[in-house]
Amino acid sequence: MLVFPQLVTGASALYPVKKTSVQRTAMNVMADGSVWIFGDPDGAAKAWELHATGMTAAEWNAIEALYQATSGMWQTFTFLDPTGNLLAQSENLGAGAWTNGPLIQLTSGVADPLGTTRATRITNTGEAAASVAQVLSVPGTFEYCISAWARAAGTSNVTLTAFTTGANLAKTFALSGAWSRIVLAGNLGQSTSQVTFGAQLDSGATVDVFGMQVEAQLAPSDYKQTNAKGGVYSKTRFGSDNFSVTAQGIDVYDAVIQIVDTEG
Amino acid sequence: MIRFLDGSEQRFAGYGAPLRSWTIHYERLDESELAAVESFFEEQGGRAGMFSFTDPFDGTVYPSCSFANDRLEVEFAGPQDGRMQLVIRENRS
Repeated sequence: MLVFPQLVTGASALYPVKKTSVQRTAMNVMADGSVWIFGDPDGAAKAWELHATGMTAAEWNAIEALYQATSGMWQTFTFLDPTGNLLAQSENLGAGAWTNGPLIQLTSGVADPLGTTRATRITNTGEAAASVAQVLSVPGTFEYCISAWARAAGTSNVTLTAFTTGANLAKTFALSGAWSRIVLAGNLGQSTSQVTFGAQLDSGATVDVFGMQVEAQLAPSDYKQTNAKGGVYSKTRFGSDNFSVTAQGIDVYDAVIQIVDTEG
Repeated sequence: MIRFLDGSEQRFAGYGAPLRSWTIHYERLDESELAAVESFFEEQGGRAGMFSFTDPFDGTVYPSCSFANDRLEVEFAGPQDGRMQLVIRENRS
């Protein structure tokens, strides 16, 4: 699994990051001046420009090794959007992207901490603990942070989890009736290519959850709502066959890295 | 417009009403706000979609507007410092 590397600090990128979304449309201008524009969703593309300033030699070597492995623009690699939420369908916990316990019940349209009604009430009607979880095709060697807002009407707890073959992380939070943002961060340290992130409820527990987010970094950033596509891009390429790096000093390297995604 | 040999011109209005467009510069947006606009842009398919837009000058709602471009560039310049520019145009209904 070729993956764009994390920085040694566990950060996924440095500011500034530029992100471009490109859509493809066909336009017909009629004789009466009216305009018809048709979209072509399959022609959409994304691009990132990462300004990696002050990299260590190890960080630069990892990027250069990936560049060599992909032969520049030729081969694809997995890129975790440093500005995005890796989860898909972050507010539709019943969507196919989620692999929930069979006795988990979901009620959407619950009031959320942002003043809208996009939260979900999760009830575990089973006799054992069960989860709302999503499997992501991401490396088990990265730093990850899963976060969500949660509250409970009674005394229910919720446990945020991240697991892969050979390792797991979990942290249990005692909830009150007020919204709080709960966070689990860590590194599973396993050479695997899938990690499951989720929120686990005890038997009989009922919890309101909003804004589930997974990021490849040490701490949560602002919540980003996602739809069908999360921030895991498995077929990205370098945007150029030329690559320049500037050595500013001993163990201090600067580069601007272009990454493109045209295949979803 | 028709221009005659003597240099005079005769002009006719091609459309019943002028169309408006808005160029909007955003700065100091947080990542949620940037992501929301980006998501909306993608849902619209760039120029292909239509949506209502409220003129920030006078509050008038224009019911049929579109993005003027198929390309949206957002910059995450720092924490709570997202930047982008949008051009929105009114459609002829």
